[in-house]
Amino acid sequence: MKEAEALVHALKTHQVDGIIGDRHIMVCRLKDVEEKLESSRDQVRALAASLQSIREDERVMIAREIHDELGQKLTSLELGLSWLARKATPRRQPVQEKIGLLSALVTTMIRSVRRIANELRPGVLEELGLVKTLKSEAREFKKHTGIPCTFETNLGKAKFDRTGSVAIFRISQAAFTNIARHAHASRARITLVKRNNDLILTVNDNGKGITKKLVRSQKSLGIIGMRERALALDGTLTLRGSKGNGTTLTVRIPLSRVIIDQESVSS
Amino acid sequence: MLARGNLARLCEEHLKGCYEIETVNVLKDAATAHKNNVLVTPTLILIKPYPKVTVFGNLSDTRRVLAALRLIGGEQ
Repeated sequence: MKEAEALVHALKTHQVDGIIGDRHIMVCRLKDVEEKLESSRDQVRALAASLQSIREDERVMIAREIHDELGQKLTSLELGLSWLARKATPRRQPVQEKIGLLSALVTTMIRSVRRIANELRPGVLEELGLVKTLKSEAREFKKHTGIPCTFETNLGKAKFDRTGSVAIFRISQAAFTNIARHAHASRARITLVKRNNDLILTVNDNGKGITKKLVRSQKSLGIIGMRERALALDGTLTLRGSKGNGTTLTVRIPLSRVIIDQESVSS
Repeated sequence: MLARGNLARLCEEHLKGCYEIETVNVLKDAATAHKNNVLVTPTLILIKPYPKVTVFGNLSDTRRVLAALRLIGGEQ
C-alpha cells in the first residue's frame, strides 16, 4: 500500500516522465501531455464562449427580423381586417363573423410573434435588468406550468454587465425548462445572492431529483451548455439531486465578472 | 536525467564509492523493466542489501530517498 501511495505522490507532483504498459512501452512526458491537454481545454472553452456570443448575436438579429418584419405585417393585417369589419354591413353577417374569426387569429399570431421574439432576445433584460427579469421569469414559470416559484435576492440595486446578465438569464431559463420537463415538481425556488465576493444563483425544486449519471452524461447538452456559460465567467456550476429532496442547481461566479458597479451591491 | 543526477550526488555524499548504479533504458530494454515490475519512469530499485526497495520519481526529495534506502532513520 505504501508503494501505491508513493506512486500516486510521484504522479501528483509531476516527478514521473512516463508510464510503461503491459504490451507497449509508451514513455511520454506526462507533464507536457497535461500542459497540452490543459491548453486544449482552454481553447475549447474559448471556442465555446465565442460560439455562445455568436448565437446570442444571431438570436438578437432573428428576434429583430421577426418583430420588425413579421410583427409589423401582422399588425397591418389586423388593421386591414378592422377596416373590413367596419365596411361589412349588418346584413352580411356571415362575412362579419368570418372577419371576426380572422381578426382573433391574427391577434393570437401577434402574441405568438412577440413571445417568440422575446424568448430569443429578452428585451426585458435590457430594459429592466437582470433582477427584475428573473422575478418576471419566476412569475411566468408559474403561469405556464402551474408550479409555484419564488424568487429571492439581496442584489436589488446591483448593475450587471450585458454578458453576465445574458449568461445568468440563459442558465436560469434552461433550469426552468428542465424543471418543467423532467422534475415532476410541485414547487420551485430561485435565488440570486451576493456571498463574500461571489454571485450565487440557485435554482431548486422538490421533484424526483436528477441522477448522478445524468449530471455526468456527455449527452446532457443542456447541462454542458449551462456549465460552459458559467466557466466562461470564471464560475462554477454544480447540480445535485436526490429522491425526495429534488434537484439543486448552484452557479457561483466572481462578482467582479458580472457586476458593473461594485458600490451598488449591498453587503 | 534529473533522477540520475540526484542519485549520483546522493550516493557520493552518503556511500562514498561503496555502491553500484545500473541504469536501464526502458525503450531499449523493456524486458528488464517488465521483469522488475517497473510501471513508471524514473524508478529506482535498491537490489541489495535486502529487502528490495522501489522509489518513484526524480529523487529530488533527498531525505525521503535516503530514508527509503535505509541510509537514515524515518519512514521508508
